[in-house]
Amino acid sequence: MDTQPDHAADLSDAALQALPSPSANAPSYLIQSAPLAALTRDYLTALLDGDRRQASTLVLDAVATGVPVKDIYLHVFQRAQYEVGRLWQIQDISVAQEHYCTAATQLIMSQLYPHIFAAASMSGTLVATCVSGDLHEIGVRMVADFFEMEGWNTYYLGANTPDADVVAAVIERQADVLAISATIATHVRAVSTLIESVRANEQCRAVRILVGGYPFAVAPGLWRKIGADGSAGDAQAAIVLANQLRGSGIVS
Amino acid sequence: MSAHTDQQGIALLCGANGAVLRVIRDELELPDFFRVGHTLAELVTASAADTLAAFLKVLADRGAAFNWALPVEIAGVATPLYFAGVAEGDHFYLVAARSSAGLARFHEELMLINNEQTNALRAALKELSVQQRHDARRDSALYEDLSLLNNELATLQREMAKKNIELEQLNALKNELLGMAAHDLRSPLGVIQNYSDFLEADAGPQLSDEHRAFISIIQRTSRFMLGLVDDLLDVTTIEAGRLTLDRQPSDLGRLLADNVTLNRTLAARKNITIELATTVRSLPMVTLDARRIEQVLNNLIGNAMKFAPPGSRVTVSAEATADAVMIRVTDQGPGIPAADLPNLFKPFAKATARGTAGEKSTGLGLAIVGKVVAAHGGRIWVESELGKGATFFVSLPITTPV
Repeated sequence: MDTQPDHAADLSDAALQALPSPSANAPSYLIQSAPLAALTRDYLTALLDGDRRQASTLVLDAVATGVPVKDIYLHVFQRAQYEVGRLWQIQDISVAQEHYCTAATQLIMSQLYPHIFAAASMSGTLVATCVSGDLHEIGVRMVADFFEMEGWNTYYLGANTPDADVVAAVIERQADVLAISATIATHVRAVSTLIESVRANEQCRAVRILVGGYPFAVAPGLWRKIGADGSAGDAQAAIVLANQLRGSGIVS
Repeated sequence: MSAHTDQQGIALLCGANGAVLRVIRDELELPDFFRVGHTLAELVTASAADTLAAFLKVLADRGAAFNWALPVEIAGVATPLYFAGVAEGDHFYLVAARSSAGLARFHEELMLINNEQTNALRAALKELSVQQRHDARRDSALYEDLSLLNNELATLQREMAKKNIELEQLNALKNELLGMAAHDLRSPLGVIQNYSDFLEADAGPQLSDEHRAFISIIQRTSRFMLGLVDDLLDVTTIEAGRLTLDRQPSDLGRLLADNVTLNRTLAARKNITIELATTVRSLPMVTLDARRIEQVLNNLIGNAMKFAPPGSRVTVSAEATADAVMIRVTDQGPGIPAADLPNLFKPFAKATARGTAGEKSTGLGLAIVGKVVAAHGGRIWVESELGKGATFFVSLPITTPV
């Protein structure tokens, strides 16, 4: 009994150590040598100034001059969002600015949808979702868009979709892959429950399940424990993995 | 504050050189000349200059000095005042009273006031911070709700964009299918028409009246179907964006006159007169696709005749302005119900009115007319009152729009 408080103290110490420290020294994501660095910088500056029209013009002009939408996603949107997260963490920007940037980026993404959905869907079918209550849907929606750009037929279900509806969508769309995202550790249980529901349905036998998000990045074996077929760190890796799973039919 | 004069005093904020920066409190009624900007040296009597210098030096060196007697001229009388002070950075806070006991009490009183003010300030700041925390919590919850809402909207927008593309693809497929069907229907219809013509020519004289009537029905019906198929082909061509115009400077007046002449034969059968206004003779040359505009005129005049009662009049007129020509086709038919007006120029829109001699409508004529006029950069509209006929207006630009 005596050792218990000490043990608890050790545990909480370890937990505190493991917390990502909001270090003011965290390096900026806006690297000079990165592709489309100038565009990314101008884009983020416009958003932080609250000028979403300017941000939108920058992106649409770039696409009009031939910059691939995929590059815009990968370098401009993703990098700008990472940087917004960092600036928020070191309290350089307010919560309001953070939410504004995300909302504006989602809007500007939707302006690119005509480009994204123009390609004929030849590859597999993806149903993507994120667990209920998760605020950070933008990441998994970007993943779905990436699949679409790779020729997949994709259906994105929002964070408010009940498990039964996700199962129904997997059956209706004859999905090859179901992608589930969770951004914080407390959402992992919800992912696990959703996977159980899918596995319990005979008609979903063929679907492969990919999970992604921060909790799966810090705990590499976690996807296996909750019954998924794999996990990927980013959109590009998810596509490679999805193609492998679909092609081989073997659980990795 | 006590009324006892001993306890009355002054409180000053001074610079290191003894210059008065602020008079915080003055209960001793210091001389009028004594204002901010003056120095303590002007306040104390000349004989006390050394003592004042020593007082300021102690203050500067030790940070505090207490109970220094300095004579000050008050109401013309040199009055000893007891000074105390603390140094705070470059500044001295000084208090003085008429006696050293008074100084202590005055100082205490000032401390009390200061404490009360500090307490009040603390309470106010506390309240403010509670309010701010509350506001921040409320704002944070609102931001989260807004974000969730925005996510839902973004998801819906994604779905809509996807559905839109699917719809566009389906529409293209529909046009392709219609085009193919119409094209494939055309040849057998031509065959039916030709062979019924042969039959009528070769065997007509031997046939009974009833059998000749059968052939006539076959011919009428196949002609109607051919017209329908032609219209379908036109609609699919136009909807697929494949309508190309062969625009040449044309004599629109002649086009109108020719079309009216052609239709007069048909009009005579229904006992309808077509009037052509004399203004058409003075129309300028207009850049247009003559075959397509003829189709427009034929359709509008044909429509007018279709709905006009026997014995009535159809009027065709046209007039030019500087940059456009406006054509009017007016009938004395039943007019168009208001409910039909919004869909009049849409394909397959079924009008409620029926032809006065049982003529059929494909529901495509006005749709084609509308698209052809629009392709010319023109406008078409209709004015009608139930029971009083209808007037169709077509406005065409005189030169080709860029």
